Amino acid sequence: MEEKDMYTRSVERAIDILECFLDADELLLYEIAKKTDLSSSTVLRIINSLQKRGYINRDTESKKYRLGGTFQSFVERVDRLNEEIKKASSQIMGDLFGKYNENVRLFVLDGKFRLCIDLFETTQDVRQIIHVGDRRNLDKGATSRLFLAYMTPKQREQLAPNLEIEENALADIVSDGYALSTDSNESGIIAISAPIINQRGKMVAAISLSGPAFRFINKEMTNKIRDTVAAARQISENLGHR
Amino acid sequence: MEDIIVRNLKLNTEEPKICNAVIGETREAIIQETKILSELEVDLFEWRADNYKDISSKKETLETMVHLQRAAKNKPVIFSIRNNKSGGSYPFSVEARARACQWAIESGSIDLVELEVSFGKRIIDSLIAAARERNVKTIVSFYDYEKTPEQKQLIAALDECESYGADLSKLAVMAKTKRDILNLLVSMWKMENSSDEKPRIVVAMGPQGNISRILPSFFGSVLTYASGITMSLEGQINPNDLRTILSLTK
Repeated sequence: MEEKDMYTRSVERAIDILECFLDADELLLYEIAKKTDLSSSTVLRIINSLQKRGYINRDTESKKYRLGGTFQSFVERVDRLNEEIKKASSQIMGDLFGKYNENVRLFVLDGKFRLCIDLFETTQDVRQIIHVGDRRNLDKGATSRLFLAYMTPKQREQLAPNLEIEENALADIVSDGYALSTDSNESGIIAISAPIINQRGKMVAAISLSGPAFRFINKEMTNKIRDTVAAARQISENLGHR
Repeated sequence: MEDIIVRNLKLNTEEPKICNAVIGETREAIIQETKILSELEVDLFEWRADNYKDISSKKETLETMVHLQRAAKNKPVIFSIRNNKSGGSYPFSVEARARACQWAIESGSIDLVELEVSFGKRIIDSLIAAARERNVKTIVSFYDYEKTPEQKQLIAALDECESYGADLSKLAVMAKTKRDILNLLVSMWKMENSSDEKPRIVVAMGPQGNISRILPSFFGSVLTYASGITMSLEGQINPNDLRTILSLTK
């Protein structure tokens, strides 16, 4: 094996180990080895490095590992970015929700996913449930298409390599200033999603208004689109976009 | 029955297709509605150009057709221009309507053009010939917004539509009673057994006619009209619900 490949492999293994803690607070060495399919000695070697840098801590009594304090600084930094967007959006999301009593959500891009960072949920009986913190793939839905449309082709290639979406369709989304779901019959859900643009002209988040198709395919639809686009524009202005 | 293929869409009674009318007054409204509907369960569009405010300008109309075709995302577009007797709001002259149809045929952006029986033989013949030259499909249609004629007249009306040799015929009548529905159903069933049958579009309008929208193939119809997002007629159902119903009644 080439030396370069070996280094990459170590990094990937380290990430695999860290990701074990996405669904567990504390783990024993052998549990991590089992989850990652690595030998205990390999896990120990990597964990020692991670421990040295504060990414993982070990409770000397229970011998269990947990995420280290270094992560806290990352979380705060990520939160600070999102917090600014949330602050700029909250009132406007509330107004949009108040008008239609349909789900209003705020998404940011999170690696290969879109992450819900804020929401107002309809009080109507038929509703789709998403929680703050839920991550969705980029292959489906209006908001995914919106994020893809605003990416450079290179980013798109990296984040969503196997998608079959026509360039034309994505160009249309940018010129229209909103995206709609294309799978409404399959999912039963229609979403309208519009881009939130920051001071530097970069799309940083998306606001969506969504609900069951039977409540959306009617005369109000064009108003819903207009209001969602207007809400996104207002939030963008709050963020300093001109 | 021979299938009519427009773009990638096969028009036949085995799998009736869902059509949405686009009736905006401005180019902007027309394009927006088409864009939204094209993401729903719509197979093809009918541009009801009689509501378009710039329909008397060839330049504007052709420009709108180009945008409309793009907004329809590769789904076929029917061009129609109705007058107040065929469901439109304005008393257009036959000449004005024929002229607009000619533009549609020449545009290169329209797949099907609807010609009404009331245009008269001379105009219909020349428009069908022009359409054929440019590979545009034609529909010859008969409307009765007052009533459902008796069986004999229904069959005679359809016969007349078919006599011009267009690709499709269309029969749209106002159904007020169950008897009206039965008359339409029986007439279409009789026609189904006649020779050299051509594909057709059959609609019973009004709230009683709802059943013809749900079961188009029973009426020998290759397509059914769904309600849009700016306008819906009595008895119409939204395209997604209609798709579900069609899949259940196959």
